[in-house]
Amino acid sequence: MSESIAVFVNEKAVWVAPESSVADVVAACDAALAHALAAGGAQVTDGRGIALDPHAPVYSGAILRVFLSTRRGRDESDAQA
Amino acid sequence: MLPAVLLGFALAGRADSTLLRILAINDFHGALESRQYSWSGGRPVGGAAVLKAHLDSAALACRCAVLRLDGGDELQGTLASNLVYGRSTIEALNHFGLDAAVVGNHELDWGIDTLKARIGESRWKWIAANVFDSLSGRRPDWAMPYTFLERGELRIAVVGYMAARTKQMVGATQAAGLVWRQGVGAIRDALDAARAERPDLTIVVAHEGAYCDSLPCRGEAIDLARGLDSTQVQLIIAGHTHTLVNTVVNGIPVVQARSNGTAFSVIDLVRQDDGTRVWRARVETSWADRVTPDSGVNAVLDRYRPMVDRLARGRVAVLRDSLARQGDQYPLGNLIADAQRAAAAGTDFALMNNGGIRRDLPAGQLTYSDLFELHPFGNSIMRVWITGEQLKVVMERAVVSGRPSFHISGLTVRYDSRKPSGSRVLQMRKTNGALVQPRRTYVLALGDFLQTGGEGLALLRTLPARRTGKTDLEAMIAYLGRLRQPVAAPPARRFIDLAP
Repeated sequence: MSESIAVFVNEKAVWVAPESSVADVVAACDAALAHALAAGGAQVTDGRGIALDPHAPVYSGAILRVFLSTRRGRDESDAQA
Repeated sequence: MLPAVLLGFALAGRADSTLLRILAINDFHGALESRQYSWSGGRPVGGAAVLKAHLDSAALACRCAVLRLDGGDELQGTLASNLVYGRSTIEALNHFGLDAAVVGNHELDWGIDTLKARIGESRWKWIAANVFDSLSGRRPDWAMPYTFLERGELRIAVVGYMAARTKQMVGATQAAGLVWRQGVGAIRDALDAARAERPDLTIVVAHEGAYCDSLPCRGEAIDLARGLDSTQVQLIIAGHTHTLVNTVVNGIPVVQARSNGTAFSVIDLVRQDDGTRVWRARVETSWADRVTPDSGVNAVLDRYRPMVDRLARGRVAVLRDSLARQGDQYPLGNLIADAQRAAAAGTDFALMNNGGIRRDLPAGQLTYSDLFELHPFGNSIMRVWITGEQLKVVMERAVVSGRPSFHISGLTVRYDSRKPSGSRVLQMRKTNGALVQPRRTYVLALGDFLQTGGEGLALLRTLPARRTGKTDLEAMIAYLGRLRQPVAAPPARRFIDLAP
């Protein structure tokens, strides 16, 4: 079994399995936030404030911010042209 | 008001007295821990607890009024700082007794809301006179254009000046709604307002620096000083270029103490025995073996170390040689560009800006922390579909100064620096020797900072793009892991100047 990886969520280190998704990491960090994320009541961004897909995989050392908001984050499709 | 300040570096006479000592740091970049550098001969340098002890020692030795200033870019750059968006660095610097700091461009990397939070946690004044709301034309409320500080009988005005190119150096999202204006004209009203309050001294703290590797020194801080005179401004504390600067322009000392807490400036205003006043400036290295680290700062760091140590010390790869950022083209840059090209199959080329390569790497074992400090920004690697003709426009931009400011992969560019900007690129060949065809479409990998128009590459923002799903850091770690150990970086120059 692979060693767990560290991901930082709202300034806290969370150790998760490799290949975990953003949503998995949020669930490991805070069940209430994970519930809000699944219900569309929360957003996740990277450290720079750019929105992340909850289904996207995380990498070791990723820095995430999760916050309660019903407002849709910046759509990544702006990079898809 | 004091008479005009005379400048000089005369030897101290017996009756000389120091009226004011200014201790300044710049470009700390979250460098909370001491470490060895390629130039330090195996000795550890810097670290917040060490730097604080050096500053205290310099303050104590003077037995005079002391001012502590910061030339910006305090927060961004290390795992221990970035994972809490700079909060650990603010907590450490709160022990330094800083009086004021200019806002550096990297202070905006995590967004304005985060910067406001950090400002709210700090114990010093944040200043910036040349940043404006792009709609209202007013200065933002998160920094003041200038502040007044009192030391002994001196009233000192301190005016902030941010890098005029901040808009090009900060991510498009973070810089939205703000504009930065260049030169003395941008801060004239702040200087006049400060002057109206009759300060004894006026100091500009500029997150703009200079290069003094050949004389005379050059750079934005030098240009700023040329636009002023010593009756308006008596001292410029500089930052941003990470160089050692200790010069005088138009009668105004301009001083910068390298970066990452490896050095600090000591600038004394001295009254000589004949009654004249002179500035005496020096830049000292913050050797870790010369002081006892500050216990208060160490207590702050002890709270953050457990969060990062396990990850930071993880071994990633072994390097055959140390890799330094020397000149405009170097093996480390090639290695990074190669890693980004390898981030997704079917990618023809990669482009990496030199300004995004944040540290040298030592020979031997590389840790996660080493690579995080190389790539601290969390840029996503994008794939952009670009024609050969458009690629030439990008390469022209890469040599706009006559020397390349980027690294490339999958490509060799021959150019002539003697030709006018925009018509320097003469030939582009793929690694296999084939010429790049103007009408053919290629896939270019690069960070989203560049893809969204950073470094003046506005064209890239208009091109079809797709995320690879990897950050620059991930791409580098994955690529190093695939290479034969110890890793040897490709040395060949990929931008070739045909000028003699």
